[in-house]
Amino acid sequence: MTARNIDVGTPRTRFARGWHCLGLADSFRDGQPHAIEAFGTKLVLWAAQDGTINVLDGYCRHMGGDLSQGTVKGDSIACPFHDWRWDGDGRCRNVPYAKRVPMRARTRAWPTCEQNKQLFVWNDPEGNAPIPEQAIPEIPGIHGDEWSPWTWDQLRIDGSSTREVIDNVVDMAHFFYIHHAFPLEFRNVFSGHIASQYMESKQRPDWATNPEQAENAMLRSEAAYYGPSYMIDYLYPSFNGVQLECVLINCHYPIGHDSFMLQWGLTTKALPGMTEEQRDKMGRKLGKNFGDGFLEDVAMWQTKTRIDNPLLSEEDGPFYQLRRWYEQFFVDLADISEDMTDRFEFEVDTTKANEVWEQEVAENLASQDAPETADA
Amino acid sequence: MSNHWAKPQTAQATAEQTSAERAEYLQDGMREVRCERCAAVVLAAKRGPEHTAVQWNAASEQACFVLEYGQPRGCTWLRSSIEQAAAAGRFDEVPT
Repeated sequence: MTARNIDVGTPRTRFARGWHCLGLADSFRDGQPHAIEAFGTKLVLWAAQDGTINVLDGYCRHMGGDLSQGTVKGDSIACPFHDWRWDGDGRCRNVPYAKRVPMRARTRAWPTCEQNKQLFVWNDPEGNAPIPEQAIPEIPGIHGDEWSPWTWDQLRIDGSSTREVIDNVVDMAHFFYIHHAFPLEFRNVFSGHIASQYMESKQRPDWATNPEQAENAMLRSEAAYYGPSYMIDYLYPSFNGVQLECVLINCHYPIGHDSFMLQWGLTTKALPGMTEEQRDKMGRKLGKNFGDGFLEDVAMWQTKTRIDNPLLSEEDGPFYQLRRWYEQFFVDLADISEDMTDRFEFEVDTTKANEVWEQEVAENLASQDAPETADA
Repeated sequence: MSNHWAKPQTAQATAEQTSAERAEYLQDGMREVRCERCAAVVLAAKRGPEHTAVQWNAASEQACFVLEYGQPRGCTWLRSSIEQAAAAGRFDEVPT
């Protein structure tokens, strides 16, 4: 039998079509221009007087000045180099020292939207308007005062691609090895532009501060990517019968073809009788816990190789079907094949995995091999 | 930045083999199953009591009236049809 080769494939040459979250909307409303490296260029973001956030390519079409180093003047962004004034629609409104604005003074503008207090841009290499069916859904109740303010974190990942993040949707076994969770039930549904993951898990007792209590720490998770980069994860952790409700956002935008910005945020619903302060403290704590989980993934991404031909066991999730789904965002609209968007359902058989993992956990506990500090 | 996350350098292009394997992973073990309730025909695979894969298409999604109600986990009638097909040994020839 010949040794198996890894097919590293070739890097992509285009960025995904769809809504990409850039951060919390209010963070861009300070009257200043903001720079974001994304989609192989630099974007400039600023708020117009009515609060609308505009997103343009960051380089002035006059002489290439960096607009993010400029100044917000009225509704326009003014280039620091020669004061050319650009509006959110991509048109140059005014060149103060010139009699008229040149005819071709138009730059690339990204369509934007706000949802769940976050800002999104629509990226489309074909330049079409946003697809209405792919609008980002509102999280029920998100504008009410039961929910804690979003925690928000970001981390730049170099030498890796966004497909690594997407692969996690179907990766049942990594939850045990990387995230110290114990998946009991794991299933996926892909349909249209949405890829979902349903998981029931418990905490690994050998990684818990109190192994006996870990048995009562359960987590139900209903997570879905809405388009290529924005996941809403409804989390229902329960501990000794107390059930919490959290929403975790896991999103990213590409910087180049081998780098991306990972962002995550969490909000949690106040338990009855909780003060705002208690609610927000709980939100921050849970945000930190789930955030630590992302860092465990990052350690893998930073050292692994790209692999186009994963070798799967029967207990692995549907990586090939997920990648086929993901491909729809990287081809022209006219080239999306039905199999990329047709509904696909998959349930992983966790029986064998659970047997082996119970054994491993028991051995770890018996030999008191468990780490002294737990990430509970 | 160099493309340093693509580490192994394979001597031969393995693209063709990758493509063949991808087709296998997508299609192997899939059998037609007809829903006892609405007659929608899907492709399904079962490699064990807990494992199920279901590939719908436009016609079967159209035929099923359960999916319309946003059932995130699919249609229970169809699942029951797949279980019956499994009990009848329809997936027995699936390679393990």
